[in-house]
Amino acid sequence: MLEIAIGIIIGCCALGAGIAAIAGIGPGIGEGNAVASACEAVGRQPESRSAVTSTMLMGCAVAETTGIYALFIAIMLIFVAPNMFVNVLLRAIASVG
Amino acid sequence: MLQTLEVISVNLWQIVISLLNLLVLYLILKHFLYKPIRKALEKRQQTLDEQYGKAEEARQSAEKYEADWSGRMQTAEAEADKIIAASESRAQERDRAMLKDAEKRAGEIIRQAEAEADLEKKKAAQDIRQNIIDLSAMLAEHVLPEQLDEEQHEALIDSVIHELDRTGSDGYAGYKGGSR
Amino acid sequence: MLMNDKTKFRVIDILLLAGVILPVAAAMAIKILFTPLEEGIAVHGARIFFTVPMPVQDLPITESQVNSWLLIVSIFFLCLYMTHGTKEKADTRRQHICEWIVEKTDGLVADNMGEFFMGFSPFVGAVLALSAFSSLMSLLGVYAPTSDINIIAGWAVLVFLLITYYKMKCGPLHYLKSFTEPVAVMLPMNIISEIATPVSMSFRHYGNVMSGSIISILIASALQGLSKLVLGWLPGFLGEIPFLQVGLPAVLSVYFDVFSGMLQAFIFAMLTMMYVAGAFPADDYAARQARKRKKNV
Repeated sequence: MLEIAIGIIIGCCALGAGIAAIAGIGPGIGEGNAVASACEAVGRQPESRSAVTSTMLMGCAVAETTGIYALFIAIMLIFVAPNMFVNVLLRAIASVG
Repeated sequence: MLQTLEVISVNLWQIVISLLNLLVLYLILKHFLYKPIRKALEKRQQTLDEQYGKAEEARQSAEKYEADWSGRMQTAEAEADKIIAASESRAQERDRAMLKDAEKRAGEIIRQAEAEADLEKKKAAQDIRQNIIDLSAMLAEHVLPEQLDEEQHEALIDSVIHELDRTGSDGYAGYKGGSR
Repeated sequence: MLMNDKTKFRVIDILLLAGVILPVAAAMAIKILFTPLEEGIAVHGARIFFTVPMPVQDLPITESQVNSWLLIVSIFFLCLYMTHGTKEKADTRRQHICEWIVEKTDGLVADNMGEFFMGFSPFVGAVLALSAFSSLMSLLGVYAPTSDINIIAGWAVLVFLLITYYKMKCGPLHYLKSFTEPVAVMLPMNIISEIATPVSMSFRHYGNVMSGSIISILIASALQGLSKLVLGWLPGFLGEIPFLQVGLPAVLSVYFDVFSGMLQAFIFAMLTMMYVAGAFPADDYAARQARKRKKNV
């Protein structure tokens, strides 16, 4: 019984981490747009290349934040959550038993 | 075996220590990198300003000299112009004087020549008159020795001479034109 | 002992260079000494050397703390080395580099923050140096302090304090009033966005570096497994050596450690400058100063 419960916890955590990684779509599209526009801008005005590049990197970094949050949650679900939930489960069983 | 932290674990004191670390690094950079470099840059700027000031001064004095010299050059040129003009006018004056002199002398010569010619003409007229008188006297002696007395003779001659005199100038002119 | 000036200069140079290199070498030595041999490749946080009891929460002295201290000592000696023999007339390469650094950070601060914040130039330099060198430490195999969230959270909290300080320049009342703008209903939103600034700054930097190191570790372990599978038939200890681990991790490290670390350092510094400069209400401050001057006169 306990093995099944722990298996469910770990499996659900892994599943959750996978689902969280879907959030990578958003920043991907956003950064793609940003880079496309930057390429256009450089094509139109090649002399402003360095300014456009640094601004684009800044914007990409900010747009990446949501993706980083998702990654954060995924990492938490993989490395932190299973331990925590299993401990909670064991403590609950101990208190009952 | 040493323990490890969880992948994500938040610890208040660690945050405070890391904050202080950054502050310490800020002070280190400020005092050991930015301060000496800024000082060196400032010093260099000072020297640069000094040098520029000196160069500016030198340039200004050079400009002053140049203005001075160009002024002098201008006055010298003007003077030279004046001298040339003066000598030119003097030469022209002399030229004119010489011309006038020459004209005057030429005029004199012409007048002298004219006077001489006049004299000659008068002399010639006198000669001719004498000749005519002689001739007419001779003619009269030969042609009319009896018909005329002394007084009539004289009057006739005088009248002829008078007539001659009247037409003399014409005769002279005709003679002159004929001789040319 | 008689020493002419040139030899003295050289000797001091060498001592300072030793001061630069020794802390990094010490970090590597600590890493080698305290890594258990039997441990394979695993994902975990920083190692705890010992724990100091503290009032609210015990303070564990970890690898990341020690590494960042050693890094600061190294940077300190690097500064001394670089500015050693600074002259009015720059004829050494190190002085040219130093002047380049100073002028670049000055230009960055002047461009992004304005003349009022010129004193921030060393702070921006410190953020850039600490963040970039911390990320680069993983190239030497030691634990990069930037992949520990506590370190970056400390920097972000410092930035948050600076932002708050500059918002308070017009007095605490003005600061409190700014939370109810444009309407009073926005108060909770404003508070959340105020707190979100350091959180997003620290998570962004930490997430990038940490995800890079986790992906590196995963790929290294995968390559180890593959190596065992494909080359396991080799006789003796040759079969134990993960040959496939040569190459690919190095290429990935160029991106995850060098490029990503540099980029995140630059972005952290840029965001610091923008947030601090944006927090300062320049017009209100000028008006307040003018009012104060009028009152004094």
